[in-house]
Amino acid sequence: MNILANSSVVGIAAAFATLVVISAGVDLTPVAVMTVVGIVALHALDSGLSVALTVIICLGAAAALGVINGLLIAFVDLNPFILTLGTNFVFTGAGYVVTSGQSQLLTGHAAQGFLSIGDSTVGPNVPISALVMLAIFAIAFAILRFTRFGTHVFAVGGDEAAARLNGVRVRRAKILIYALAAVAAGVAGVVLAAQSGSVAPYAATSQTNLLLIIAAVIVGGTALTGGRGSVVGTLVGVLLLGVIQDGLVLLNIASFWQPVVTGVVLIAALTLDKLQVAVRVEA
Amino acid sequence: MRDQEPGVSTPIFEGRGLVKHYGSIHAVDGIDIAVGHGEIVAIVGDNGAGKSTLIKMLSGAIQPDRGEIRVEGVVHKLKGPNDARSMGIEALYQDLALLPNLDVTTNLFLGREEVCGGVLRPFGFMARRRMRHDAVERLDALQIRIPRLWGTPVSSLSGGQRQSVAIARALVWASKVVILDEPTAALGVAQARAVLELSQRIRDTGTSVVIISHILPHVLELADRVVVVRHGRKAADLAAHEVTQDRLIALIVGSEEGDGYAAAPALGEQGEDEVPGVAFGRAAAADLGEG
Repeated sequence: MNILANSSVVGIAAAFATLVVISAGVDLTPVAVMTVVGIVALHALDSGLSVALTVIICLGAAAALGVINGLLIAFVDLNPFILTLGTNFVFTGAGYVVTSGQSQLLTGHAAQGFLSIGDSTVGPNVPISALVMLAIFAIAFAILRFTRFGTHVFAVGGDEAAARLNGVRVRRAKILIYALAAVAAGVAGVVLAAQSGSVAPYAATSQTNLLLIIAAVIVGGTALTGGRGSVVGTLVGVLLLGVIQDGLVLLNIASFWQPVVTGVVLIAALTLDKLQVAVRVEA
Repeated sequence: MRDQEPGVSTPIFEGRGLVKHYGSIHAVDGIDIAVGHGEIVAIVGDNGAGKSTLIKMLSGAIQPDRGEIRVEGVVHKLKGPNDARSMGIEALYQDLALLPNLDVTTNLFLGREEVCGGVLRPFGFMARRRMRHDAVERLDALQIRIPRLWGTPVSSLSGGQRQSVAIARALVWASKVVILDEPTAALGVAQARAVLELSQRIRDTGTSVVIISHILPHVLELADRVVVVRHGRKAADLAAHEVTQDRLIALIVGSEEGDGYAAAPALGEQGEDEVPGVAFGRAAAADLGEG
């Protein structure tokens, strides 16, 4: 349960980052979206809004950022890597501007309810954040596996031009993909703010979580070239990275080794995947 | 006014004065083409003559700069392939036909997935079992046999099987017209033969067929009418039984002018197509030998 709770921020964002990567795109903004969402939560709670309303506004703000990404990628036809690299700077910078770079604590009456999202448990000690992550994974799985839109995500990633000729509305699909990824990042942002109890714009500058999100998707077997991948694989990737994190602590190994081990696992996973594809092609 | 079979009134499908320019290149420079009910019309021409551009306009994949498209006599503006599809016009494109990473059934239904009823409907949940059932039924009806309709991506099928899927996709959905761009290009002799027979079966059910092919014996055997395209213009429009293969080659390379359809500017450009003309003649001869 600890692993699930510790992995929840990365996991929630990674669930929908999987869709982005399957569509042969990439979204570099989840951490920036999380930061913006934290700032929005801070202001919403300060102005006395209820927890539920705060969360809704947070997700709305995240969706707006995702739609900006999606519209630019769909209509300006910029490479998603370059485009979201740019919007990542813009969103992160906006966080600095609004907060003047200061971190702030979530305090006050309403904030107590909000913070409980981060630390309360249900039933036999199951953290809410872990349940949120599993629910987000279930939603991402259902969308990708059972809906028309999910099929179109694979089609866009497989061959965009062919998808268009076959009647897939590629632009609409792309906008929805980046909007959903940002909403998931928004949920992760709510969990992160609730867990940490504070909002710090400089948290976004360290993009460790972004790298972990992408690593989880790739370790989970989703091809960076698009067209192939699974949400379940990403969940396995998230848990694997979580186990590495916890395992190293349990083995009393200095946490500085964690990135080293993560990197080795990432490369090993990709090598295995490549061998597997080679075998399949030969067969 | 072009000759029409007695009893056939309005063509089911028609392009009038179609023009498409790419910068200074006149890919298609004013072509009229009409397809009758249950007719097989072949479009032939050298590489770069404008055939593909022409059929892409007819299928809505690209929009003409000028000219109009009529379906059963009514002018329609095709803003995309879906507009053509909704009117029962399907196209098989030369190389962009299938999604390699999706299975046969998903490819067959791509862009028109069946959605299940009830509370899941607004979320676009697919009726996968129904689609699989339909796929089996529709392919059976066309006597198209493809192994593994679901579960494996089409990239794992052989080239011939992939092409069958692509053709099936167009044929399954076409209710009025099916447009086939080089449907036999990647196929062996027996498979190409199967595709031709399939086209005839489709025609026999009342669906019209527009086919682009380089293989002239096939064209002459299959088509009711042959339209020769040269330099973006219509060089000839002939009944297939009235024309020989030699005459067709002559029309394609421009060593013979058509029956009044050829436009004057084409004359001035004749010298340019000597080399491709030779290449084409050789290709046609090779195809002959194979057949």
